[in-house]
Amino acid sequence: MTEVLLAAKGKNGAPATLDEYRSAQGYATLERVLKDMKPADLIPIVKDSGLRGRGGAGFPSGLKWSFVATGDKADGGPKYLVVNADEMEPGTFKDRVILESNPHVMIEGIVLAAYAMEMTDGFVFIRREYFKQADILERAIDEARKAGILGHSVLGGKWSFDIHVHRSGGRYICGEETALLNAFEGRKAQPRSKPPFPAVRGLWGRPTTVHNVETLANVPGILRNGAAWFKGLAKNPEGAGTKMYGGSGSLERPMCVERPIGTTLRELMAEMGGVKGGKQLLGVIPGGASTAFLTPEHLDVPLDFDPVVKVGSRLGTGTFIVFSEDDCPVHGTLNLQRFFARESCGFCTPCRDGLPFGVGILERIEGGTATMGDLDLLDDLFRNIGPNSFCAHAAGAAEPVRGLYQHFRGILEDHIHQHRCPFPKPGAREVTHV
Amino acid sequence: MPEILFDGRKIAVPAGTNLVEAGLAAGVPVPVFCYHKDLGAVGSCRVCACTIKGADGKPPRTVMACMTAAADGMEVTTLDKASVDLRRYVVEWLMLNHPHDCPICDEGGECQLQDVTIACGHSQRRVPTMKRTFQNQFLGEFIQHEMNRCITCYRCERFYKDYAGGDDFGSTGSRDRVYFGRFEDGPLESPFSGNLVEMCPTGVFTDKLFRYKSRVWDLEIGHSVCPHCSVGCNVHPGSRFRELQRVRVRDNPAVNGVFLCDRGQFGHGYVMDPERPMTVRLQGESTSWDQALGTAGAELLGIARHAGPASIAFVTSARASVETHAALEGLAEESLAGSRIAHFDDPDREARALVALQALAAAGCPPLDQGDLAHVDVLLIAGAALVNEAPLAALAARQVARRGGKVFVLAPGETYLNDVATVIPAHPARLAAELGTVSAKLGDSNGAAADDPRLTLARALAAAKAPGILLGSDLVDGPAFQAGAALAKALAARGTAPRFGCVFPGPNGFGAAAMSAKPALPGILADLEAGKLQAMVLVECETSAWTPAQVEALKQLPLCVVLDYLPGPLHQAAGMFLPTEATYETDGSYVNRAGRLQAFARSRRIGVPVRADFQGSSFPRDYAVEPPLGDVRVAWRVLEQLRQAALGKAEARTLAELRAHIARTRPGWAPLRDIAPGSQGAMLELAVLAAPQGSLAAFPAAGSGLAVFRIDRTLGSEVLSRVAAPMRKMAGPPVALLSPADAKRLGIDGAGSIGITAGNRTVELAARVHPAVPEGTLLVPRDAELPHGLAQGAAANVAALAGAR
Amino acid sequence: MLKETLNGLGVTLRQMFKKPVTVQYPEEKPQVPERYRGRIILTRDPSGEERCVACYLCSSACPVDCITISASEREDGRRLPEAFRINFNRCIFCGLCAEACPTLALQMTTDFEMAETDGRNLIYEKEDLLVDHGGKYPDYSFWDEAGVAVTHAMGHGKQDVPPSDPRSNLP
Repeated sequence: MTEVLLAAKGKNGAPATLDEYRSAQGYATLERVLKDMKPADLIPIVKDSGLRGRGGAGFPSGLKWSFVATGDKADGGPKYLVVNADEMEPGTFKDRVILESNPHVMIEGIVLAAYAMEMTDGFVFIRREYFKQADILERAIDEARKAGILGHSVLGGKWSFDIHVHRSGGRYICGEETALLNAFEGRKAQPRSKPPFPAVRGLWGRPTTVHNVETLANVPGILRNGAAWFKGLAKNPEGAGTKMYGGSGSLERPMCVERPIGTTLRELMAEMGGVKGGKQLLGVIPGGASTAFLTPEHLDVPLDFDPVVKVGSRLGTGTFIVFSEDDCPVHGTLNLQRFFARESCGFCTPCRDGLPFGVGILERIEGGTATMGDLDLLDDLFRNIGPNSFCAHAAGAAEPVRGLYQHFRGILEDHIHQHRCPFPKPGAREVTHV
Repeated sequence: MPEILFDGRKIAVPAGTNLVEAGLAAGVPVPVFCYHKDLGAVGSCRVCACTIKGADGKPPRTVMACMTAAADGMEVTTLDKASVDLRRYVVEWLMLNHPHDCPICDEGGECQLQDVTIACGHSQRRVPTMKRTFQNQFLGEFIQHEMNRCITCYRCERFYKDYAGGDDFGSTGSRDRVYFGRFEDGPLESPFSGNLVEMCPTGVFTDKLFRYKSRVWDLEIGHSVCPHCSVGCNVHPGSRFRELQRVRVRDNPAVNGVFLCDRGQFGHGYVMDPERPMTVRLQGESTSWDQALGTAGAELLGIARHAGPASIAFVTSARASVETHAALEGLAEESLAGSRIAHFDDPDREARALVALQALAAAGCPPLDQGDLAHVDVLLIAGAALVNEAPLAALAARQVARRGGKVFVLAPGETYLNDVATVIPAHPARLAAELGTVSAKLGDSNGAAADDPRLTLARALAAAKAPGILLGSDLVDGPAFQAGAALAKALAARGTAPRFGCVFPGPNGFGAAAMSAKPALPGILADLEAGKLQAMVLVECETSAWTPAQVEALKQLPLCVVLDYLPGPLHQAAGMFLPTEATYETDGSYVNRAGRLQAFARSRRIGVPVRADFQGSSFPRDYAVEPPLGDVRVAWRVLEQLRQAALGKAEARTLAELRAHIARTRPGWAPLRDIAPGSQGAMLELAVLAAPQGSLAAFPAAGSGLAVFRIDRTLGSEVLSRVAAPMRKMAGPPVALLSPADAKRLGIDGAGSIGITAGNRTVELAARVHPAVPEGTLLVPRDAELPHGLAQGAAANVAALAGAR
Repeated sequence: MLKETLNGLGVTLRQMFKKPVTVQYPEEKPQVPERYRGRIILTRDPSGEERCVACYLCSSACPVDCITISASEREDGRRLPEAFRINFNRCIFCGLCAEACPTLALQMTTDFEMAETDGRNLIYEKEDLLVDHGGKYPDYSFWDEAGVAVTHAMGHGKQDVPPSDPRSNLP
């Protein structure tokens, strides 16, 4: 597949300008939809398309849209569309590619989604470190505003809508849907209890939908070409559309590419030049840091939401991290756990204090001072942390440990029996307070 | 009512009950840290894990009890492996960073964390990691900060910011480094900061006055009632070795719930004041009780015989117990019949309390007690910045707003409810008119949009299901009391169920007013000044409201007997001084501002505390049955013994006999017979009580100069709590409040120094501009000195002083 | 009957030739085990400071209520007993106080020779109880482990990391 739907760049690799985007039929869909379709007509199309949230959870987008009260059921007050561009998941860099190459496709997606849910304002919550990307986005929004696509009376119609960019304070937890809303309101970025769900009481107590950048970037294509076309893009029968796949870690050419959903790991890795230095593949964390390990036997699993769940992991963000035979998965996991422990918001006990405890155990294992009892403790610990924390942060943190325990039990035991890390690149042995 | 099976016990609970409360109902206390019945559930600590099996047939799952509502047919177990394991882990996680300082922590013994840790069986850190630490902050004279102990349950922040409306305290930081404190070191500004001690499930916030004093299990604790205002909060004073060491809240859902204000929690320093008079003194010499009582009795009889009983006056105050008031009346019998009795020591407050009681009776609706505030949906507070006069009522008023009700304040100088209430800073002299306007506009439901907050207020009251009207004390004049009662009546006539309440001066203002037949003090004071009195017995009184001439006349009296537990001018002036026991040291009862009769019991054995009685560097080595200076008696008993001496009675009446006597002879006081400390108290029946006579004039209309009003301060103006140094330090010097317009006219920018002139006297006072003070008024804290004879609301010349601070 | 009598006399006869176990106390001192529960002492930590923090756990554990304490705070924040009394008239040497002591301050010694003719002399004050050594645990110092800034700056105890900055947004 050579057609680039989401991340078509402009001239010389610069971000596509409004004119460039327009010349590729950009905003034509929006004009047609605003002229010919009622908001309620959009949701069935998106539902039929099978579009699922690209932020990691894979929640059906059409269904999400239908949760927001519209028409007579709405109370007439403001409703908000929030775009989660707080891409802080380790190993994940797909939204950045979209923002850097084609910000307008996301803007059009935002306007279309907002039109479908009759929203009044859109907010892009962008990762603090994405200075350049935020500038690009703001420039693109400016262009769109000048062209009458945003602001009072969108494209001359009755409906008004504008997009505002908010730069994050810079914490991983801000990517959690409700913590993001709290951060937006100037509160501590801590998750809210659900229910009430954001669709009922979100930003400033108003109905709100939170979407990932990539999800929204898919919307113009769906509405332009129809649900059947979108479904047909996928490689596997149950999938729909394309996906920004990214690869990092011990790869010859780490990169981010847009491929039909359901492409296998083997195909993607081949495209990225295979494991670095021609080494053997040890394992893969398939979708950002908060997913469980896959092993070489899973290379032919289609990378779509359901097939990956079937083999015991999650697609997550679709950006995988490759471990070669020289990379210690214990050290890799320890590194991730340090990240998760550090990025806990501090609200609930399992995450705030349980994750540092896990780090302590992993440090002992990696440092060679652990006992077999510590292995059981580690497993038991994360079984208790995962399902019992307030939000999905600690549950995500438990995933790589679960995979480690499931697939690399032998490596863990080697650490203990040899009283050191058996890998050539020994991990940090120093014991720190995370 | 869903029926659930909780650990094998079948119970029915109201719909929406969470599983922690359901567990308590079933007799299973689920461990909690972050959950608090008044702060609600947030689900942060995860220690209340239990496993539920719904009637829907889904597999059992482990949930947080506080976040889960009981559903019909639900089976809950707290004892399955998953829940037990999780609770054990939660404790282990919390212990990772908790310091090893239980031996020196004042919370030890009443620490929720300690209890749950032991209950969950945690004793060893399996993977010892280093512990995070924090710098502590100086949070004022009341609260000690020890952040290392924090288990991050967010209760303190939820109480301080959300429940009590404070804005100078909160959390910062993330992960396992969440910090609870102020932006910078400094005293906590909320007058409810003391509740942090009770809220914190471990020892992050402890009572500074109790620091390193005792273990809680060593304390002698009795059920008592706070004597610092008319709300009548229930307290547990704790003392050890004859030293009163702390005061904690006692949960009385009908009054204060589990909250206290700082005045009540930290105002107990007067009890252990080193200056406190503890000996019987006659003409400056110490003497025995028998000697003093015999002398006083004989002299009283003699004076009655020669100069007539009308030359004898018995005066007590609103801080004396019901029994003391009754015992005082018992003196004016037989040969002393005809001697004069006043139940108040301040003529202005006497008139105010009597008229307030009349208004309560006239309103014809149930009184608005503290607990009733929980059911009020629209609350009108008139004539008081409530946090000054009845702090806990202000805290409850804030909860009315937090629950979605509406709160209106019709008074100047509001400082606490600004953010949740509609504040109309009415001039006190215009309060009656304002209330009348509201009454008149109750029916005005279809007008234009209400720009006038008075119209909004009238509409809200008219639309309320359970409106409440609460009048203050100091800033309400006679017509305003009547207008308030009339408003309540008008609301009742419209078919709503209003409640009407007043604030009374002192902890027993209601009781004192109910004992009074008519205002008595002005006559007594006039006669005193005119030299018509020969003897006075003053029981737990102040003379701060008296003129210098009256105080001077008191000193010249042939017989002046003073009973008190405070040092002060009266103690010096008295020919005879009889030391009495303070509230926490004795048995008695108070009637709170809504007529709730509450008994209190002794929790401190009086006498020189052991710490002050050291021989060398250790405890005394000599043994005595009676502690040194231990023969201090409760006021009502002293009065009974005086009655015995003067009237030749065979025996002094006991507490029960005295109570039975009151219940028998006074209509409406029947509940006194069965009153017990540690209960919810009992309401005196307003309809049956004999209403006192008396009237209260309107505040003078605006004249030249500013109308000066004495008001209370939350901390620092109340007579008992201001004795101790930490309280005075936290309260700071008194500051008068004046309106921006007056300040501009006087040339005061923000804050400055003013001179108040009345008659031929000028006093100097610090002053501050307050936006909610109406033009033409000056609000002066009661503890500030004012020119004598300046009546409440009278005009005085006010000028800015050079060299403003 | 004669047989039983002879048996008894036989036992007596045999004992006559055995070494007696009687110790000629006080001329001869008995060997007491190290963990004997004798006179109670208050020990000092390695820096020579009083170990007792007046936590009241010994007095709470005491089944005969023979320990009386009054806590105080020294200027440097150290919690100390301003008075500590053990009434050995009442003490039953059960050792529960030593077991309860969380700072290893209160220990029991092998000394049992405490007899007095006047009961008042058996009331020991702090100065009578304090010794100038660490007893059975010479190396332990509660304040170094406690996580309280008294013997060291905050965050520099044996188990502590230096204080974190609550203002920082950095993790």
